[in-house]
Amino acid sequence: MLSKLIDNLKTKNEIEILRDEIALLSQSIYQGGEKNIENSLKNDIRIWVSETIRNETQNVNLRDYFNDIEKELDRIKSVSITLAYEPSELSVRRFYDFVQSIMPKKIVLELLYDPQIVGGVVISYGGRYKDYSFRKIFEDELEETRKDVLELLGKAKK
Amino acid sequence: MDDFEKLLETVGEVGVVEEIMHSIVYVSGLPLARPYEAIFFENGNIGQVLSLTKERVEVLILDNNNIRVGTRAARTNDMLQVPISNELIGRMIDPLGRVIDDGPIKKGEEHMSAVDTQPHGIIGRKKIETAMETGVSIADIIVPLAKGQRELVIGDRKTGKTEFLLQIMENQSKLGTVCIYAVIGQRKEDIKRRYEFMKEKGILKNGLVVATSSSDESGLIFFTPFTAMTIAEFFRDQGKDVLLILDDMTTHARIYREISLLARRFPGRNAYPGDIFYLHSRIIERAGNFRKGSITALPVAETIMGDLSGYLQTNLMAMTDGHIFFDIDLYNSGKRPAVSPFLSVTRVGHQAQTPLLRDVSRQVLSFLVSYERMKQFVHFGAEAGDTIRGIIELGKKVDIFFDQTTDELIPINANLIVLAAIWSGMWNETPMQNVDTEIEKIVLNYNTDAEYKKKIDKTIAVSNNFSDLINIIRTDSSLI
Repeated sequence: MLSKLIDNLKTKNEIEILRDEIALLSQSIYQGGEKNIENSLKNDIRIWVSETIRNETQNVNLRDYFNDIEKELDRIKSVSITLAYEPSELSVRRFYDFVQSIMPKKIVLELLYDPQIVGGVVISYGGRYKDYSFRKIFEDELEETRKDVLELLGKAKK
Repeated sequence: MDDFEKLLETVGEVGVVEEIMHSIVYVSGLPLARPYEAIFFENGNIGQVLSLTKERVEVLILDNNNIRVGTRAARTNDMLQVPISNELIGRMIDPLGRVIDDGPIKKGEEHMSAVDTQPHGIIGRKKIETAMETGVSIADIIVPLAKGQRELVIGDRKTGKTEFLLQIMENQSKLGTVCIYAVIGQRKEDIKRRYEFMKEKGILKNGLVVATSSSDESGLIFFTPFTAMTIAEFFRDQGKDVLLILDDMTTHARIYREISLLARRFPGRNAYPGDIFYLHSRIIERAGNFRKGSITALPVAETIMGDLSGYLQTNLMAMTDGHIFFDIDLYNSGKRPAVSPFLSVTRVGHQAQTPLLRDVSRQVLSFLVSYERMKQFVHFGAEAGDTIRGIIELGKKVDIFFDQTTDELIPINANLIVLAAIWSGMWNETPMQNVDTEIEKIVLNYNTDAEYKKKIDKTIAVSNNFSDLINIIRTDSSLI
């Protein structure tokens, strides 16, 4: 069963933040044991993360728990989505819910920002690449009409 | 839209560089990548798939532009290809077909060809039957070559192998053969010097150079012989005879060893990978005599202290039709070219010779064996009788005859007439220091006097064997 920590992740960015937190907690176990980790959970970690960890580690060895989480994080695949704008929190949630609903496994979104695509979206997952951007639509259009446009421009010059 | 974006769009797959190890990069993604497929990176680099794992694709990169972790990669759905056209004649290019000399870039009717292809099958090949004149006396008489032959040129470094090869190219380019010189990972200075030499001697009117320097990326050096062979096939398909020189295959093997070790392949003998024989035979098997045109391949191999029994050297010997061995001892004793007549082999060269030439070759080689024996015999301080003295005197003249500078090219018929003159005893009374002048006179006359040349050619045409020729020379004083 997936940990709630993993379940709540939506983006690759969030994976990185969680990875840093796990690394910090692992380090505090190494440095000062149970007492030290309590301090870290209180001061250095996001609230929802520390609460989830407390709930899930009542009868579990902490070191094993963190190792399992790290392994799980390594296994998560990402769907890369390139957009022409920076999406809001709500948009990210909507994208994630839609993509996760059609995927059999846990995934996260890798959100990229590229204003050059004008609009639409470029998606890649597992090496597959699909360009549904406006840039491509415009370019395809221009390719078809290039000859006519150049002719018109030539006439206009004369 | 640039080329990379177009490829992403048409193939519909993307990969990301995850690890870089010198000239090898590991790419995740690209789910349908195939072995040997060309891969294009977003920064303009080109690579070729070496192997595939479940998660990643191992790619050999050919350029030294900076690739970083995170660089995107696209499949091309094709093998690595280079643009080839007739405009390449006279040029120096790299294995990706980019012109690297100072001249202007001219684009002819280009056609893209895969560099790593399967060798031609048996159908379409033809028996080797046309001799290939080298212009070097010892090669033409003792180790003759034929069009479509694969002959290994082997010897220690600095024994005159390259000079010999340049001589062959000079002679063959004059006869209309397309000469392709593949320089594999050598010093830039040497490449430039050889290119200038080829230009000066007119070899480039009918030839080209495919070169990589030692500072180039291993992947690029690796493809040098492949591209050169692909260009050779392009000209062969036009029905032309092609002479291809691969200088040298030991460097190529070293580069492949480097790549294989980086790719964590299991090392075999001398740390070379297990498929080194397959790799080289795959290149060399693409040469040969075909129904339409021929490719004569002269791969070069370097030995250390004259050791012919090295791993690569024996591999290359096994996949060629003989070898010309350059002996460091002969070179140090002043012989030029330092070709060892006893350790050199030609497996198909004799079948393309005329009966007269074959007879001359047999007799001269057998004489050289007895001359060598007599020299050792006299060396021990034994008293020499008339026969021995005769053999040694004749041997010295043969030595003078075979001694040839790198800017001299001697036609086969001139060689035959000089040898017949030596054998007939015409110069028995001539002092040894004047024999050279006599030989030069004949060669000069042959090359400049059309009437004399015609006469010699006619005499040789009517001689069935060496004795016939010697008899004619003895009776007709106008020939010498």
